[in-house]
Amino acid sequence: MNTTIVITAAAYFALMLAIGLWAARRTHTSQDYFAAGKGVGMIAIALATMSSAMSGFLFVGGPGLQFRFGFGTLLLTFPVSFSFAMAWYLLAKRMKLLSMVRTMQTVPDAIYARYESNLARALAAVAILLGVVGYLGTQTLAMGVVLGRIFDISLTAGVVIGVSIVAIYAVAGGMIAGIYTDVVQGGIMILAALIIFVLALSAGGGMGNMVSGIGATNPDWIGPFGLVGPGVAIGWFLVFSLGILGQPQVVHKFYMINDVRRLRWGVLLATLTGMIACLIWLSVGTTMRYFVETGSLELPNPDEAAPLFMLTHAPALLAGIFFAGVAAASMSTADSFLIIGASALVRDLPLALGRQPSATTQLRVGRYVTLLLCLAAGTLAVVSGQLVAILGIFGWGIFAAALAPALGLGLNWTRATPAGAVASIGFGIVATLALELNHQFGWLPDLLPGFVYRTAAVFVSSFIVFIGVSLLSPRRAIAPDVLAVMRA
Amino acid sequence: MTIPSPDTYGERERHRLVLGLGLACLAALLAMFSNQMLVFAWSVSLALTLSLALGVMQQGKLGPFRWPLAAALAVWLLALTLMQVLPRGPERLVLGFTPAVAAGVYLLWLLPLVLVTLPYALHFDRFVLTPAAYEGFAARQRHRDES
Repeated sequence: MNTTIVITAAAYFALMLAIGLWAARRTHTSQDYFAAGKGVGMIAIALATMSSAMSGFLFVGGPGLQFRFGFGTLLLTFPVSFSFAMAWYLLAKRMKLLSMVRTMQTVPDAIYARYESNLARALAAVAILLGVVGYLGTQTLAMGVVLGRIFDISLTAGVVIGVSIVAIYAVAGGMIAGIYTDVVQGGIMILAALIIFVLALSAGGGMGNMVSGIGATNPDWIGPFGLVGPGVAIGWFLVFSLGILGQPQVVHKFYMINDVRRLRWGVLLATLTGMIACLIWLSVGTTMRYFVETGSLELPNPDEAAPLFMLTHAPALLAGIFFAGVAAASMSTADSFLIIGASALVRDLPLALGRQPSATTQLRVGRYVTLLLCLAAGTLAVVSGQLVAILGIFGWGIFAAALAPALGLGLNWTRATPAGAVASIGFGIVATLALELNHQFGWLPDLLPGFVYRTAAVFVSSFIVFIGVSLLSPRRAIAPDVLAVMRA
Repeated sequence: MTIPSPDTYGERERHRLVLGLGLACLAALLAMFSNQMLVFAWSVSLALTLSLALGVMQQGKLGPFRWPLAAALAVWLLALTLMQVLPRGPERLVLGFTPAVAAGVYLLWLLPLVLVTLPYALHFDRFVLTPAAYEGFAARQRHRDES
């Protein structure tokens, strides 16, 4: 245990808790708790959007995935140069305008406004709950890995400490805490990413030297699709670009911006910072693989690639900031997901069933549910035995397959129908779960050939189902205020 | 609140874009299962471009986004093709990467920033949400609230 790292990390956590307590004092209504009160500025929205899309998934899971599967995993990061734009092009303006004409707190609210179907709203809430479970598993596992490294404790103990801190500020500060901790971490992590990128390249003697060294013993690793092949890699590219349209942690932030006209530069800020953050994925994963291939290191757990690199190659102060930053980034993202999951349970499902809980009830019960979700996420992280990134890919995949067509196309195409939305959301949930569970537990022989990426197959099928069923079902009138939003 | 006719909003053009997207998805699915990775890559490129066009289209036109989106489609088609046909070994490197990976890093990763993301910021006021369009929306909203 390095004293400088521990002190830096402790100071960072204290700052995060202070933000949580400050946010708690600003959280008075369910609108504040679930949607940060709709008064957030452009820079905060852009940084929080980037941070919540990246966090532990990028900083721990990414280098681990790159270390294990090679350059093919870069196709998960390449979309970042335009995927935020995808969300801005199709949804930013319409989601914000929708929040000006209706009470909008969650993604299922938008689904209901567009289709006026309680079934579609309920299915969207179920999809969100399932995706949240995968994403929370990612964040809590990343927290466990990093806290374990900082304090020299077991993974389980790291998960327990991390979940406890998250529980305190998520229950108290809700989405406001999540947004502003994301902003602080986003800024710090971008700076750290640039420094780590330079450190990693120089530690390995430059990218060309590492590529030549790895290629000598493991030529497939340095190929454009790494060890996963083109089917999976291009499938990742598709799901992580178009699939952003179904990510509630990204798109529901459009409700929160204080003025629709300030959306303009947010996309550029989110994209540039996201691209810088991805440099960690590329550099650290490659450097650690180079060390292993040249015999100077053993790394049995790929998720340890980034933490071990920081311990062995970075100055203690920077390592402390990195560790605390990653743990805190995972915590704030977990916070956002906890609030999204809680809102699905205490707001969207009751509304879909025809019940209208009061704002006070939503706020009170939401806090209890948040606590329960914390416990479930911690348990999943400890017992799943998955890589950090794999759980994140599952979460992203189910959001993408279930929600992207109904939301992304639905708000841009007047011919879309409630039947199309219900069919594609239902299909996305059932097909993703069935294929993923069968793959994990091996109940049946794999239903798809090895070169097909399961999530990509479900994702494009969900678009086909949405468009096909919409065309085959009768056209339904759209509420005038929603139609005005779609045509603005 | 008066809503102008569908034709004014170019809904016919949007409908065509969605049909094109559906066909691109179908082609992607078939290519995926038949292990035709070039066709898969081209279908993905087309699906991305059609989706972006759907999002930014106003009154049936792409306006200043027309050429950037066409260029983005060309870049995606070129990069995903080059990644499959260029040499993959370390014998010759291009700016630190094998030629096939370099096509991904320098074309697929960097160029869409300029061709897709930057135009949104540059043309926001002129095309995505003009001051007149926003004022019209806000005025309709005020009228609705008052009535």
